[in-house]
Amino acid sequence: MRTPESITQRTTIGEADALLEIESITVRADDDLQHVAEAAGAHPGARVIAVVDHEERLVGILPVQRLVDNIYLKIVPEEFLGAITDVEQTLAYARNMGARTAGDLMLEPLSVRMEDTVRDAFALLHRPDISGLPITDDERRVVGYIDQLELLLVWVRACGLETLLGGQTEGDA
Amino acid sequence: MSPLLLGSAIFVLTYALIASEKIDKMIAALAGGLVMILVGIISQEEAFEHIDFNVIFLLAGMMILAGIIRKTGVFGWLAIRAARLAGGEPYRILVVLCVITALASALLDNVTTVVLVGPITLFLAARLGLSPVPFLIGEILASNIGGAATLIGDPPNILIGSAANLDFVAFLSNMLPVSIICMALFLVAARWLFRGYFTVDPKLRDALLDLDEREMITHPELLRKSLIVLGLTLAGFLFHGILHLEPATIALVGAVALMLVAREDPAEVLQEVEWPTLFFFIGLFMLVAGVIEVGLIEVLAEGAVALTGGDTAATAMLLLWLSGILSGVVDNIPYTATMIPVVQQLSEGQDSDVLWWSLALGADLGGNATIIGASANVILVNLAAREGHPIGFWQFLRYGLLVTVGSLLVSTVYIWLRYLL
Repeated sequence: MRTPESITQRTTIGEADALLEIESITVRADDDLQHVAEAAGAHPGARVIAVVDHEERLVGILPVQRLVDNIYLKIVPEEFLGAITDVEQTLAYARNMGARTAGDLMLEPLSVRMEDTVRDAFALLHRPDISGLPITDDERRVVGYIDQLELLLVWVRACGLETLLGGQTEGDA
Repeated sequence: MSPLLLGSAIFVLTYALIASEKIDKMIAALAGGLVMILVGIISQEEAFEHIDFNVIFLLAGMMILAGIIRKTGVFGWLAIRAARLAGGEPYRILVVLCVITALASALLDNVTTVVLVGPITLFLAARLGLSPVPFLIGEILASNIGGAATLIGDPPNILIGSAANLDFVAFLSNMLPVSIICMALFLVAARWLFRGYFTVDPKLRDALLDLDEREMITHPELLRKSLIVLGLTLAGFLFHGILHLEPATIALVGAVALMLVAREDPAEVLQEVEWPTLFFFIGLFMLVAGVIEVGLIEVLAEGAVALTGGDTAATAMLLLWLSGILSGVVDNIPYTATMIPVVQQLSEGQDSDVLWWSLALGADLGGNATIIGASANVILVNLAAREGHPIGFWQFLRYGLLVTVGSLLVSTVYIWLRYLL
C-alpha cells in the first residue's frame, strides 16, 4: 500500500523541482559580497546561493542568511559582539570580519541531482543553516534549485490535500 | 637503570611532548604523571598528595566566574565607550584597549580576556579602516604584563602563591608596582613601535559615533550581580588572612554565589570550566612529585648554587632571566611547576621572598617574547590570521623581544632596589 510517506520518499528531485518556479542563483567564488547580494536580490525565491568556479562547477553553497549576518555585523555590530562568549565564536567572528568574497563565506558544496529522491535531499537539508540546495548534473554544473518548501509540498500533495494547491494525486478516484 | 635516570628520562620525554605539541599537552602531562606511578617511582598516594587542590579549585572557581561574566558584555561596553571617548584617535584607542586588556588579565584568565577584547578590536580597527595588527600585538603584550600583577592573573602566579604561601595582598604589593611601570613604559614606546599604523581618515573617526555601547550589555541584571559578586570575591582575596580562608575557598564561594544569584544552569556553567587545563595541572603535579622523589630537584638546586656560589643576588638574577628566556619558548606552567621545588630548596634560610618574585616575574613577562610564549598570544594571532591580517613569527618577535627585554631590565632594577640593596 502506498502511503504519503512512501510516496514522498520516492519522489524525485526533478518532480519536486517542478512544484514551484524558483530560479537558482549562481555566483563565482571570487565575486565580491555586494555583487552576491545584488544577485540574491534579483532572484528573491532562492535562499541558498550556488558558488561556482570558472568552469561553472559547484564549489560551495552560500545561504542568504549567512550573507545577511556578515553584512549586518558591520551595520549593527552590537548584536553580534555581545553574543560572543567563547573562543570558537571569537574565531568565527574573525573569519566573518575578513570575508570579502563569496568564496570566503561559502559552505561545503552540497547538492542533489535530478534523479535523487526527496529523501536524499532531506538528509542534506536537515540542518538549521541550509534551507535549499542547488541541483547539479553529473559534471557538478548547476541546473536548478530545490527549496525546503518544495519538499513540504511533495508531502502535502502525497497526503491528497491538493485542493489547496489545485493539483491531482494518485489517490483520487 | 637508576631511579634518578629513569625519573629524569620520563620528565624530559614528557616535557618534550608538551613542547612539541605532537600530542595534546593534557594527555602528555597526565601520561607522564601516571608513568611515574606505573614504574614505581612514586605510589598513587604520594602522587595524589602532591596535587595542589588549592590551585585546582582556585582556577576552577575563577573559570566559573569568568564564564558567567563573559555573557554580560561588560568589557565590550567598556571598550566601545572608551574608544568613543578617545575620539577615534588610533594611538589613544590602542592605549585604551591595552589598559582594558591588562586589567582584564589581572582579574580573569587569558582566554576570557582574548574573547572579551579580540572581537571588539577587530571591529574597531575595521570601522576606522586600520590594520588590527598593532592593536592585537599591543593587547598580547598588555595581557602578559597585566597578568603578572596579581595572584590570579597568571597560572604561574597561582602555582607560586600556593607553594610559597604568598597571598593576594603580597602579589599586589610586590608585583603590581613593576607591572604598572612596565605597562607605562610599553605604552609610551608603543607610539614609536607602531608609528606607521596610526593614520586614519578623519571621516572614519566619526563612524564610531554611530555605535551605541549600551547595546553591548546583553544581560544587565546578570551584569549587576556579577560585578557585586566579583567585587566581594576580590575583597575576599584581599582579606583572606583575616578571614582565615584559602584563595581556593574564596574563589569557589564566589562561583557558587554567582551561580545561585544568577540562576545559571550548573551544567551549562560547568561547561565553561577548562577541564583539560585542570587535568593538565594534575598531571604536572604528579610528574613533579616523581621528579622530587628521584632527587632531580636536588641536582638542579645544587647546580644553581654551583653557578651562583649561593649568592642570593646572583641566584635571583639567574632565576629572573632564565625564567624570562625559557618562558618565551616553552609553556611557563610546566616550567614553573618544575622550578617551584628548586626555589623552595634555594629559599631555605632566606629572609625575603626575592627568589619567588624573580621566578614569578620571569615566568610571566617572558611570555611576551614570542607568539608561542603564552596562550593569549596564540589565540590572538590566530584571530588576526582568520581575519586576513596574519602576524608572522618574526614580525611579532621584533616587538615581543624588545618589550620582554625591556620588562626584564625594569624587573632587574626593581628587584635590586627593593630586595637586594
